[in-house]
Amino acid sequence: MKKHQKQLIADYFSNQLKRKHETELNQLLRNDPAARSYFRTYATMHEQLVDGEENIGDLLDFCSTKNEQTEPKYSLCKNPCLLIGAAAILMLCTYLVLHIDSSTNEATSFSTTNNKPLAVIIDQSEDMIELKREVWKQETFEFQTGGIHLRFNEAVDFIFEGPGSFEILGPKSVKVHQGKTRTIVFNESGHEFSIITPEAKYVDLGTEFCLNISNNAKDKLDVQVGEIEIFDLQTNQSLAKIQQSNNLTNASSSNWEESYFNSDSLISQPGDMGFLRWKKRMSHYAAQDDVLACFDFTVRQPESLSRETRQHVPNEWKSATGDMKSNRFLISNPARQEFTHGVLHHCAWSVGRWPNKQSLLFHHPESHVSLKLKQNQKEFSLNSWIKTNRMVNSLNAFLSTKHWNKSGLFRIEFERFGKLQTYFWGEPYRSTFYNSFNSEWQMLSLVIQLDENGYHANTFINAVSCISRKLNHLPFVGKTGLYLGNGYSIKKNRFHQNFGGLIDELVLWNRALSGTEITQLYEQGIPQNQRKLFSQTSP
Amino acid sequence: MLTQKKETHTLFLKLYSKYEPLVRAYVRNGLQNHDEILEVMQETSIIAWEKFGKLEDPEENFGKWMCVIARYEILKSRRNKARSRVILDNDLVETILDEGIEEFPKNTSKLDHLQECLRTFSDFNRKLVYLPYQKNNSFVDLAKQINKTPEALYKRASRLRLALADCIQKKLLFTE
Repeated sequence: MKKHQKQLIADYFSNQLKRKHETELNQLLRNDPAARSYFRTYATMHEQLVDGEENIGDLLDFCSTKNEQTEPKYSLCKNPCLLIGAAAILMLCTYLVLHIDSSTNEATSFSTTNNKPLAVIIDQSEDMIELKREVWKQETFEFQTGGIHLRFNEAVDFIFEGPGSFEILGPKSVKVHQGKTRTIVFNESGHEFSIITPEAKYVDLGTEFCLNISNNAKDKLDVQVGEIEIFDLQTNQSLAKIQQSNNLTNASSSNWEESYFNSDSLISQPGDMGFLRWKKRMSHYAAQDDVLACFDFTVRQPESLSRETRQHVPNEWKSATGDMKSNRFLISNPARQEFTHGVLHHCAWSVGRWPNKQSLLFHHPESHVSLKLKQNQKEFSLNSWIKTNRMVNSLNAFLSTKHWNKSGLFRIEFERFGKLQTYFWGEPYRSTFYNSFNSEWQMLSLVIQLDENGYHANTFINAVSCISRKLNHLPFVGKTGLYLGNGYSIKKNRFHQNFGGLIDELVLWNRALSGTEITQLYEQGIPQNQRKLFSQTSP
Repeated sequence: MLTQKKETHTLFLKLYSKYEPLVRAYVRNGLQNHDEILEVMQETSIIAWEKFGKLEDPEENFGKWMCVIARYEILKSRRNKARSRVILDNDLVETILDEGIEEFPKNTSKLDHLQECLRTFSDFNRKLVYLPYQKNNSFVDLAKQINKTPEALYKRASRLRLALADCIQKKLLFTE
């Protein structure tokens, strides 16, 4: 479902639907079962919220705390009682600042007065429920597996990996009970960012450093860039300064030993949370009956082929599998095996959407992956992630059927500057003006749907529909050979449309995905560095 | 005899308390007006009580059975209000209600998912989601306090509610 369609349903429930949109809403609900399902979910949610008992008074208090500076109209001077109260609070705060040790005063002094959140969630290993959620108050996070990537004050990236938990104390302070952390200070305003562990307080002096904090062992530290200073929790005395490559300087105590350092700890990098999330999603697909093929684009070690792998290669390659190693194959891993594995030809492995993820580069004129569909499908959907900025041919094929001589065969191609085209044999030519030329990762989806009016093909880029057309024939007729990343010309007797760009992930379903599902695929699959941060303003 | 009647009464109350929020959510599919929803719920509960003795395996079937009764009452209510403005066509509402009865077992998990999704929101956003449903003037008060227009705040709450509905749908998708 498209965003504005969801908005129609939301407007209906909040009695904000305009008369001019009533027909559209009726048509939407009449034609789209997914929209009706969304409608019922919204009804359930709406009724629960109406019946909810959330204490809104708290919200008003909370907001007034955050906006004391911007809202001078609540001046204390107008009321002597308030003035006396404020003086008492001020005295109490002064006492706390002077007498409570540094590890706890962070917790009491964080209340923001500059209308900025303490931190923003950049990414996490679980599916993102609320993208770029802002953290405005002290909050504890706990992870059995996976982790989270937070950004503090647009200056510090803090990556946490479980099992363990941590607590945000303030815009420059985090208390970690257990777990692995990576702290990257990339802006001067993040200097003196502190991590408090059960053992010590680690204060940044402009750096990138990792900590491994466990219940039963000493903290393990790895200073990768810059310098940090370590303080004793009880006395707040400096214990040592550590420079990059773990050079110990100014050690005030012999307790600080080399054994504290851990230069080989594998702690998550920026982007790794998305990678963990992706791995989880791939495992989910592998177990689903409606998934026809799930190519994860992971490079395999060059080993002899297993019997199982050999059974699922295209027939013409079966005789050669004795000499071929597993790194020549693009493995599909679903519950069903409607597609063969892919055989790589002249492709190169490259960097994928995340630091530990691979993709395939189709740089050679004959680069392609050959695969085969074992049987016909009435409906199907395809989803992939691509980079399209390296294309050198007039037409650059993302996917093409091996032959081009009967109805049902089709090609998905890009023109030199990224204009997307879909061709279906025997169907009228239909051009699109959507220009996808882009140096960023983009999601390409094709949905073939059968309804009472026949077949429809809908092509999406980044979950936005860009070509929608009616088809007279069902694509994927019979057992079809397919080329990923190139097109073959029988007339020229050669491949002539190498894709040129990168492809990362290809999943095929035996049903038509809904718009909602495609949007979710996009939101969960877009790499973290391409997410545009919300402006960090007050609510 | 008296003991048996008391047991029936207790069982009805127990099941009614358990399923009432789900049935009310179901009724919301067919009616917009809050008072009409309450009227239909009242009629539905009276009929349910009268016919409760005939219901087989009440522990298993009560919720769905209540929805079947509610469906009839919703359509009756819509017919009675035929002169007032209705947005959704009657046959469409019937389709939505019929599908709603089929998917009724999923509704319990919808409520669980709603709570799970709300937990992922920050405190501020969670409270903001509830705000448009408050009958007092808290929306305008809050907007004034944070120096925003009520419209801007309402838009933000609206975006959050859409995100919440998306979250529930997504969880349903992955637990099917």
